[in-house]
Amino acid sequence: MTWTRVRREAGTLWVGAVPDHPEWTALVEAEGAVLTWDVPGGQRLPSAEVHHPERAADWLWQVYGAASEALLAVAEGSEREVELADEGGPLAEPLAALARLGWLAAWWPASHVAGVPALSAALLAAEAAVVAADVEAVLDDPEAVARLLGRAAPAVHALAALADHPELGSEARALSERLAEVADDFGAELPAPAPLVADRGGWALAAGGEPAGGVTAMSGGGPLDWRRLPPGVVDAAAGLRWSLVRRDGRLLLDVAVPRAPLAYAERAGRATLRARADAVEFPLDAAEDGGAFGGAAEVPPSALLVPAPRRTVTVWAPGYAPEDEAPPDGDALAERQEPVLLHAEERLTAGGVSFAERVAALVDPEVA
Amino acid sequence: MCPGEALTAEAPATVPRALLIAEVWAELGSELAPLSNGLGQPLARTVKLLLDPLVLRPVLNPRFAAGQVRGEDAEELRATLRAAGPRLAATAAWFTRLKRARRTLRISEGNPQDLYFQRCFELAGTLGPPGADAERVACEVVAEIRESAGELTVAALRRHITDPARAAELRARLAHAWASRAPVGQPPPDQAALTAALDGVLDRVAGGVDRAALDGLVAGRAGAADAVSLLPPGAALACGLTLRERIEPPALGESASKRNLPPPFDRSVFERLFAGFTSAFHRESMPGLSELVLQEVRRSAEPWQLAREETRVTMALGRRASAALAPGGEAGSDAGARLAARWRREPFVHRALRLPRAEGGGPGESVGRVREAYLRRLWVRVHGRELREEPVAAEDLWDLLDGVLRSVIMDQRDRLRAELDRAGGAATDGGER
Repeated sequence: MTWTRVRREAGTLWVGAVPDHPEWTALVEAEGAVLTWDVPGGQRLPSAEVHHPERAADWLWQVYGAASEALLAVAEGSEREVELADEGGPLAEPLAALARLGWLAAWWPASHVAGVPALSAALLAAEAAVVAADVEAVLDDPEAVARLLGRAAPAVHALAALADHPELGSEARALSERLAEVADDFGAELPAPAPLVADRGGWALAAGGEPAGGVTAMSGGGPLDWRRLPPGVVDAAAGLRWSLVRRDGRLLLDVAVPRAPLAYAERAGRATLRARADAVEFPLDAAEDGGAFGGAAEVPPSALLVPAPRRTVTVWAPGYAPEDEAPPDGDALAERQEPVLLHAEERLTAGGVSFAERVAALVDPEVA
Repeated sequence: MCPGEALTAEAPATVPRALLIAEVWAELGSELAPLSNGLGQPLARTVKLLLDPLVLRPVLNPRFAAGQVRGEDAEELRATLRAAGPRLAATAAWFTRLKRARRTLRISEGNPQDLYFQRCFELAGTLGPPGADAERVACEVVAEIRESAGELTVAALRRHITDPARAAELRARLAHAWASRAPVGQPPPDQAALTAALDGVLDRVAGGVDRAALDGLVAGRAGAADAVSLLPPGAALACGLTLRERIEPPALGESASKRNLPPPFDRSVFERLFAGFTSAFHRESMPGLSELVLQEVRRSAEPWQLAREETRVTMALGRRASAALAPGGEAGSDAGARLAARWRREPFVHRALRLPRAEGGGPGESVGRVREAYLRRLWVRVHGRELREEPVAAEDLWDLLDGVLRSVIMDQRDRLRAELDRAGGAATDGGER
């Protein structure tokens, strides 16, 4: 049993607290309420912003069990502690699973450096579609299942390729069958499975810094803010490396960012990043071998006067995040990112909750 | 611990309706599986398309409405559902047959639940469970539903509208309809009173609409009155309904592309009908093609370019409720505050889903534009309902007003996600993957 703070203010019922950071937040938009779970915190029953309690009353018991009555009884303008039974109602588990699958797609910290394999977005969508079909009656979006099925379509190829896998085969066949049933029920068309083509490869461990050529005057590292980078682009456990290099008579600032590993049966996208430091801004392009993003720009000689620990290099994905933000604060980022990396490590050791995690742990994309 | 038992054991004053339904559903057993989800509960569309309109009918039996059911009504609700058990079982069996026929006929358009549930319930009523000739019946019904969804009608519409003699006549009628519109110089309606009346309805709409007040708006022609304020130069442009400074009569048109339709008031007559045709619906509920085109010509010259006062009132309500979606706008009503709250929640959801931030120069709907997108989509929805002669039921009004904003938001997310999927980050020019 857990005591949870509940308050009702301006018609909205707040159950528990929203996770501190987006990096930790798994969510489901239900009819009349947004449910959130703190993933690294291992939250079992969700927190909720119930913005339409009359609508949510129809299903709230399916999430919180008998405690839902006490939640709904909290009067406008008041605040109370309500005791929630850990197991909750019959939909608590599937909704948490659906939320978690969404979180995995957004924040799973795939990393060569930390040995965290990437998860297949299509497999995650396939699992989510199957779970969503069980809980669609309480979801805000009546087209939620159809939307997920649309994103799940490429999973049929990976599932077919895994059907004979000694450890994952039976689960792959079961998911494949269920996915087909749900697609049939919701009128979505799935492609016929096609054999996987090995990608052109080159997912060797990223090189980090140490640009070749020239004389390095100074070098250092810096953090990467995940919130300024789309999922699946940079190595989640790595930072950026910079160096001031004198090359061909010019002073250059070199920046390198290791790339994220690729998921089973998925190909690399064509992301471009940008970096800014020492009042210059320049693109970071993916290296031919796919290992890292890198770029350089000429800087004035005064750049040599900035001591290494004081140099801040900002990296972001243009078109994804705005550029005009304060440079990242390394300590604050570490505080948000560390729990996520720890969570991933625990999950991998424990064998993974979702099929996509088990696939990632067992299948090496380089031999796919 | 079973939450259901805990709730019912104390014979509480109210019981969640979904709990009652789930209990009876479990009793009725596995014959209902085709209408159930993986957890053995009714699918969302089972409730929406079968139980609500055909079995429980909360419009006639308000005590059976979704949400909390009073303890003393619980047994009657259970009995009503149990009585429908055999017909629902037959409906489920027919649904399985129709899905099989759909596969045989290689049909993939549309959601089979939306298309077939109610027909299956009809079949269950007239024929009982599927018998020896079930396969033939199922194929006929599925084929008939496909016909009525009408891919052919767009071609027929084009032939009809491009016939030179008829096109000339239609253009003349269009010009006449627009020339004989009510003069703009009519006395302006009392805007403050109109706004107050709209807000009065919007204050209640999310919790169960006040029908008398809504009927009052229709009787008082509040929709037409509200449309007067769209006429000054720039007014309809500010609402996103046209790209022109002044509203102009539509062209007759002869082509349309689903992906590239202009804002509502800039659409040709052909484009307006095309947009209605491409969404799946029963064409049997529509008049003949020639009458349909004439109706559209007349409709385009009416206030809001809509024919029915109920529909115009819906637009007026949507316009008022969405005021807070524009920069500096005030909610004014409960419904307005709820729409604004949905839009305010979006950045939080957006960040948690790790979607690109629209203000980062991404392809998202810019903040100031959401109300325009909202009103465009609302117009398209209510126009489609006029075409199908499917009026907005009072009890569905909030779902419509709220659902349109959700749909605008979801489309934005889908666009951003597609952008991410394509590029694995931001799109770049050139370069082979």
